[in-house]
Amino acid sequence: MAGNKIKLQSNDGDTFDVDVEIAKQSATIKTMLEDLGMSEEDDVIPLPNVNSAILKKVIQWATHHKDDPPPPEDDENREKNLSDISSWDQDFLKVDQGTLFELILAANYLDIKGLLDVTCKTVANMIKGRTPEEIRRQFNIKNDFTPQEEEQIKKENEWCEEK
Amino acid sequence: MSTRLLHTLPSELIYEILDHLDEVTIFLSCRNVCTRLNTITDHYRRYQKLTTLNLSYQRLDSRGIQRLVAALPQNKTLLSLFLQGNRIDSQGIRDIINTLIQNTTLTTLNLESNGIGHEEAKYLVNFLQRNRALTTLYLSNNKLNDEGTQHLAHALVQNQTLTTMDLQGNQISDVGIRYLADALHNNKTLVRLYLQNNRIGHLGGQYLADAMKTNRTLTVIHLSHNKLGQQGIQYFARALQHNETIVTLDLQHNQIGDQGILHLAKAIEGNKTLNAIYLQNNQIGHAGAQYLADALRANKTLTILGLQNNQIGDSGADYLADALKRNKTLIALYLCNNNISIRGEHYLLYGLQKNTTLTILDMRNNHVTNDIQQLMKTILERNMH
Repeated sequence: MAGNKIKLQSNDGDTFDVDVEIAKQSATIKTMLEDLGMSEEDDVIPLPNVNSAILKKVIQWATHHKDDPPPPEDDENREKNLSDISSWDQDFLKVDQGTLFELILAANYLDIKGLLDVTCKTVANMIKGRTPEEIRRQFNIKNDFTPQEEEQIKKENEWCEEK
Repeated sequence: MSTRLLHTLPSELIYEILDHLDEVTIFLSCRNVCTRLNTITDHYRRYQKLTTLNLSYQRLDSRGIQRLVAALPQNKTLLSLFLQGNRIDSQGIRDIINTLIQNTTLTTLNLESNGIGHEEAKYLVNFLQRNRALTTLYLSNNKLNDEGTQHLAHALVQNQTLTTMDLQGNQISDVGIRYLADALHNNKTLVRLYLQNNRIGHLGGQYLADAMKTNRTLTVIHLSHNKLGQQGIQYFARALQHNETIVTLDLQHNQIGDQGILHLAKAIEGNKTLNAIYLQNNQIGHAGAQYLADALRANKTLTILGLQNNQIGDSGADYLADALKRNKTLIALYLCNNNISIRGEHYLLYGLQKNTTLTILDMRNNHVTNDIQQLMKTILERNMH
């Protein structure tokens, strides 16, 4: 089996040769190969939602994590395991925010649970311990509450003299 | 291609990120960043289910308080907010309380151990007069003193939602209790009042007892570790003869003595609502036990009698044992540490043999024997069925 490769094509036309076993960490690709009976030989799997730069990063991540055990099932009502991010992943995710969010989108589209977890965890760590104002600054988010809403918040916080 | 931003991610991916955050962070950091994140968190299951926010002993600084204050107004999920032990400063207390005035969901607020004094109590007055949701307010171990209690009492006259108020350990003396008692004449919602560890003397007892004559809603009063004394108890006894609402009365550690018990016992005899009375640590001797035994023969409602750490001795045990033969309602009798020896133990065993309701007889820390305790245990277990 070793050496079996498939071609993945990004939305900007580049193709990447990837070991089948590595590519199968993506449940989306795995389904395409197994359920849809796509052959591994000559076919190119188009990934219209992922650009070359991001696809390259995803393949790099999947290559490093090819021997990982499968991630455990989620319990949707509970806070997820907050175990530390490995130092390799930390280095891997030292990227600008745009890339980080693109990686989240790609991990979601390709259904790579481990990558989705670690990228979301990274964003979560950027949120922890910060005020809403700091989060706006950190993530370049505009305060878009209407003056009325702001006024409402303020009013609700105002100390009203006892009549 | 435009750069991706956090708040433009699809909502299910923002949920994925929120999955990695604890509830406190979601509440304090992710709310009020922008309208979209608010909408998303509004629909996020863990936020929707967030009914209790526990921030007790978190050393919340003023920044933490301001985050809380910013997040509270739009919240419609929280039923309980625990903020005890944070040494929140005056401004923080003010901001939190004022933020909650319009809140219609929060029913429990715990502000225990936050150094709340009479100044902060004023904010609570405004709150209690206007808020329509809070039913339980914990203010124990603060510094309300008499002045703060006066403010709260003022608010209680108008408040119609609060059912439980905890004012333990607030250095409240008779002066403060007078205001509170005056308020209780008018208040029609408060059900449970906690006043342990204050400085209530016999005068305070008189004020409260007077309030009990007119008040028809209060059912639970905790007054342990005060200084009611024999005289204060006398007022309570008189009130209990007419009161038909008090179910639980906690009078531990109040220097009642046998003379005080004499009055109380007479009241218990005729009372038809009292369910539990706690009299531990009150210098009660065999005479006091005799008065209580007389009361137990006639009483038909008391189920719990706490007499731990008194001095009833063997003859006291004898009186109580005799009462147990007639009494048909008492379920638990606590006689731990009462200088009872084998003789008293035998009396109680005989009494118990004729009793069909008692299931707990606490005899620890007396001079008792294993054999008799075993026999007692068999009867108590039989009574359970």
